[in-house]
Amino acid sequence: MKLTDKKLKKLLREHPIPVTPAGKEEFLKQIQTKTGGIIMKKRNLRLILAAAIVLISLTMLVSAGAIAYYYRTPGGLVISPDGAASSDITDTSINDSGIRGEGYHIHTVTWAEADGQTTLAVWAEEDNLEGLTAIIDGKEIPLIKNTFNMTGKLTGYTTTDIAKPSVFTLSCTNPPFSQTISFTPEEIMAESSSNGMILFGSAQGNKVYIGVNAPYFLDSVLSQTATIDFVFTQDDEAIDNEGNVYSSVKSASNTDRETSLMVWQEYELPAVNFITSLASKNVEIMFNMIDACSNGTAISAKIPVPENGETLTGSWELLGCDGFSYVLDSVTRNDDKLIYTSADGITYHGDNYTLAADNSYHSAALAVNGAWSEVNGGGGDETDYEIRFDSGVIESLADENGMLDICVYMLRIGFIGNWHLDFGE
Amino acid sequence: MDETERIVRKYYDDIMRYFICRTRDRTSAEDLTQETFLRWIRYARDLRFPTEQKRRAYLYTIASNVCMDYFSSHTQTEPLEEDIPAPESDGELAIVLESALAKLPDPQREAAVLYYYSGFRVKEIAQIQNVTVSAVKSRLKLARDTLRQILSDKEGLF
Repeated sequence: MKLTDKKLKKLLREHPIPVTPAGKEEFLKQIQTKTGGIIMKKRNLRLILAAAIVLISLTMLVSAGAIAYYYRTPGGLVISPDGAASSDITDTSINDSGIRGEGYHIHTVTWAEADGQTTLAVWAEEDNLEGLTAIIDGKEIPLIKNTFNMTGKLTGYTTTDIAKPSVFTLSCTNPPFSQTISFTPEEIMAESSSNGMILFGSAQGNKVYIGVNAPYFLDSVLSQTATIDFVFTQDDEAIDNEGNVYSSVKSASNTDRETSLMVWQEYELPAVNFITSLASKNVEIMFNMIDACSNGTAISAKIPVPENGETLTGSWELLGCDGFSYVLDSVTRNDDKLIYTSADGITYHGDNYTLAADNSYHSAALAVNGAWSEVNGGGGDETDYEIRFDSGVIESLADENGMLDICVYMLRIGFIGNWHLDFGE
Repeated sequence: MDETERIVRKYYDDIMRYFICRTRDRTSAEDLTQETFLRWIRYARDLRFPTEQKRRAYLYTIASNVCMDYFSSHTQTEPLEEDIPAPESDGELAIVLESALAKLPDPQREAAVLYYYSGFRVKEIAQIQNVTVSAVKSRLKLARDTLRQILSDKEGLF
């Protein structure tokens, strides 16, 4: 009898994995203790103790109305006093991109506005910085250590006694340091012209972040080997961070999976220069993603081998590991070459979603019998795929029915998005 | 009963099953379950959700992130290549199913657990796993095919 989806669902739901209730009751007992939940567990004792401190501090700060809106770009740690849900809430580690010095390590400096109040926050690894001060327009404003430690790893030093800062000096007496911090007033967002991808940029302090939110690629990008290259172009010429023409390509492989934004490249440069050189100009960003579907999860199709000079037509669907499908609709033999075509190009599996041809391109490599080699495997552009074989081996690779097993081995997608960087005031 | 206790009582077992399936280690599953609810308390307890379903989906998103942190510091062991015995009684069926699920690659296993055990819709699973709807459909299809292969020759199973 066939195991249908309905039967399988019934089977699994009627026979759940047994769990004992003791763990739940013990956990409940511990989080309801007077201390607010200090839980002794085998691992992560430090985080658990930090959680207890957070619980107490959160209660105090909320009741005192002292919690403000903390936002860190890119992605975000967001707490809103009115408790609005946000998918940006995360407890992940913050990218280590801050200011380093002997005896201190500033990860991020942020400001945010909510309810008519501006909060400036300095996030540091050290919880013992003394005399941390923001000097804005000649006025010295002390930053107070905030016991509300969002990540369990960083300490926040904050003040709400400021107007929205643009450029200010961050200074400290112990350890002694002084650093100029500049903010840009806007986070720049630009939506791509198709395919639902969002390319964005954010300049904060002396860092500029360039990222892409590309849900269609998330699965493959995060489960396979992938690289993304950013190339800035202006007026069809490639430019570098300073606005100078160049031809090299920057590459990055960062992902911050736990936020809603994928940060692929971080450029450390004076934000002012970037703004000055590219303000109110259109900037194109092109990225390429190479995704190796070599872990065997791609689904192949059996395709007949034509006679030499013959073209066979059909509809053979290949499913790549990233969810994209390729419907091959003809195969032509030319001696030891097989040329497969796909009139529709890439479609998104199940949705017949086609990447727009005018601002994207792709190429793929096809594998034969699950294995790709430079000879018995081949690449192609959006509609044509060519596989070259050693002389005389095609028939030996085919099965008893004269079919070759063809699957997608590698996928490369380039996409061009248009940005308009406008920092306003 | 306060809201935290209600959430824990309602979802603890399901989250625990989720981690048992993903880690294949009950001891770690217990720790990760508690870590999930600690993170809930830390970051999400005061949030307002329009529906209970959205609250549940958010809890599972936290669980999924907890699991990723766990995998990034622990090497996943592949299940032994051994036959799954046919259940001799109805009570053993759950263990047989657990063993079958353990043979799936992790993304498929997670999708299958969320869909079949936890009853999430495909769109919700896409949000939890942070992938597209079509990717979830692919994973479920592949999981189903594999499970069908493993379970279909078990005498008297269904």
